[in-house]
Amino acid sequence: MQTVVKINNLVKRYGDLVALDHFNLEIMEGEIFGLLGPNGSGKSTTIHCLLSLLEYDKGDIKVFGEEMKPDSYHLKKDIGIIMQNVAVFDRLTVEENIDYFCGLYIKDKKKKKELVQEAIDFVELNDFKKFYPKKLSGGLLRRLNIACGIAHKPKLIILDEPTVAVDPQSRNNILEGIKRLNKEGATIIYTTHYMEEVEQICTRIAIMDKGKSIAVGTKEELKSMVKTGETIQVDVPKLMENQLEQISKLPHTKKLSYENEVLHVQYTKGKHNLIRLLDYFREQDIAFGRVTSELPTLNDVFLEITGKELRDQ
Amino acid sequence: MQVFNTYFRLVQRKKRLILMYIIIFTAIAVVMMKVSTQDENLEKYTRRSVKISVIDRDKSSLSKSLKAYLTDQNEMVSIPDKEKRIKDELYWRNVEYVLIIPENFQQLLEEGQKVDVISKKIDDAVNAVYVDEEIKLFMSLFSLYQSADYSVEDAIGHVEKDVAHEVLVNTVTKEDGESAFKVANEGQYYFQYVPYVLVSVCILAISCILAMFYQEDVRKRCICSSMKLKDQNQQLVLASLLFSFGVTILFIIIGIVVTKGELLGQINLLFYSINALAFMFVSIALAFMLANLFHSETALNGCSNVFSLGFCFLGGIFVPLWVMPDSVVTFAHFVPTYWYVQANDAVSYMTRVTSPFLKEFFLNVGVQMCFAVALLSIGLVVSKKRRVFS
Ligand SMILES: Nc1ncnc2c1ncn2[C@@H]1O[C@H](COP(=O)(O)OP(=O)(O)O)[C@@H](O)[C@H]1O
Ligand SMILES: [Mg+2]
Repeated sequence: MQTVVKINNLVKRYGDLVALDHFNLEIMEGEIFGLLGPNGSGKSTTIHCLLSLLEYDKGDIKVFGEEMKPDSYHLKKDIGIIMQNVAVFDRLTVEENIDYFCGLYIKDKKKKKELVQEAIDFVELNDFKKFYPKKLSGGLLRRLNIACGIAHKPKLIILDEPTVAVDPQSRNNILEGIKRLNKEGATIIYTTHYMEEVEQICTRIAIMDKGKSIAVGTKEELKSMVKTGETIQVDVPKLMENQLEQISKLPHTKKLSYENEVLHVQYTKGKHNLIRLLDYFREQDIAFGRVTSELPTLNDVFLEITGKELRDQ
Repeated sequence: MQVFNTYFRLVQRKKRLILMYIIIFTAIAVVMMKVSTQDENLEKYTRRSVKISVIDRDKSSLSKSLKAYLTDQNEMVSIPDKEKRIKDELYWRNVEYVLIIPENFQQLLEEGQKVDVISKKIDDAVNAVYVDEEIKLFMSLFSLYQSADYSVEDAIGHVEKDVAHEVLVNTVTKEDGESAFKVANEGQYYFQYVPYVLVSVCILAISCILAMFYQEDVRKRCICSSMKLKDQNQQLVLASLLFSFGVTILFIIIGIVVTKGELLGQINLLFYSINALAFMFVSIALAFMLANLFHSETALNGCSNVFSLGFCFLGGIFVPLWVMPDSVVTFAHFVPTYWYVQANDAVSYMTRVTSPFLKEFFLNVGVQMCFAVALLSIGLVVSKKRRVFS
């Protein structure tokens, strides 16, 4: 497998603010690589440096094994970008927009026409070809934005928070599309602050905070790095104070809460936590209803490493 | 030529608005042209002589010669050299124009110093411009001969011959072709309004379209593409130039049509056109600067009104500057339309291409080009600043 992107000790300052602090990243061919971090952690800055849209203070960036510079047009031809904000011409139709951006890469008229049609098919905007962007709903607009970035069939596709403010159905549609692009051979870099998205599609993930990459790996690897284990949730109509106290003393119990007749117990890593809890209920003759068990989330990973929540910053 | 083609596709999307402006403009220009030339028609052909009084404090051969020349052209009234009397006579319209030639006028000129005659005129002196022009002509010829190292007496002699010839030319055109004079003035009125529509159309089209390409997010995408940024920018420049050139040529053609083709045979048309092209560059540069400063179409539409109307009022297009207070006239020098109108007026008075005319004309054209360069530079500085993304 070939390295597609390699970022080495990248430092980027905005005045006094260090936006990227000796940031490292290596992305291999065929990956869907997720860059997960809260707002302001430096994801967009990373992407902008990677694309030579920003000058940086230190470090080096290689794409397809070559140094990336503002005039590396032979590298740029194989890159497609989709940014957080929709970047289209309001006064061009869906088809004309895709044609314009595709034409910045593809000179041959016939080939361009084919590629534009393929892109339209891909994002399923055939019925909206002649529409102006203002007439499209949020989800369709995002799909147009994506089509503009991928029409020229890039080998590396970079998406910077492409699903912000998108309804769940469109979001799923977009995520499935990204998976398909990856199947067709493109390497994907996907930045987001939604952990569910990276869990759903990414083959490897880097977690970012304050301009640093704090953990890299598959989601399983990341989850096994931390001490947090599963969280068990049980509907219990009635629990006494002393019973709660005893439950908290069971092995591996990390945190528990009892609210609205629902008991949440979070465990550190360890086996047989659920059996032990249910045994206790039986012993004490406690009636209980639905039981669910969740593995740790990337939020738990983030929380454990940084001491703060990934979301709601 | 992807960028170039898309530029014109976007022009097409704006064609209704542009067409509307062109039609409205043509209507206004034609109406103004007709109105303005009508009530002055008679005066223009047999230009009514102006009641003028020359107060000669110098009594040199130069001042006497100038006085004699003006006497030839106008009705001479003599009034005493007293401030109060001069005011009264002007107020009662006993005299329309008072020219004061200061003491040592000739001597100072001989020493190479700059001295000006003093002109006082009544407020609505329509014909006063002819006297102004006559004085201007006389003095510019004199300084021309003087700079060619003629003695004062020789210079005066030559000037007298030249101005006599000039009068001859005027009378000839008046007699054998009254229309020549009239058409030149129709042309003047028509071309006077061209900056209004050029500024409007350039901002509405060029600024709005460039602003679309300059939107931060679209621009990022374009920069990341494999087409060289330089190529993209060149195509934008080329398209803008071609568009505004087309519009300018269109207005020149409309000008020829509305003056019923009579401008065609005249050398004046060439100079009117050069002037319009010079102003075209000012308009493009302005449009470029504004596209870099404002990104919303609403803001740019506002700019289009502010600049087209502002330029036209301050530059003396809608209202002649001599009715404006002095402070406005001074300020008008900082407005490119002022120089356009100066050049346009010079062309309309021109009956023969003389070197003083060329000098005056190209000075005014040159100043317009300086404005264009200045506006362009501001635009470039702003666009450099914008290259860093947030
Ligand atoms: N142009 C800029 N000038 C100053 N600070 C900036 C600029 N762009 C981003 N920042 C700061 O850099 C940090 C990283 O921003 P960004 O890369 O946009 O984060 P993310 O994309 O992860 O939300 C933030 O603290 C942000 O405020
Ligand atoms: Mg961002």
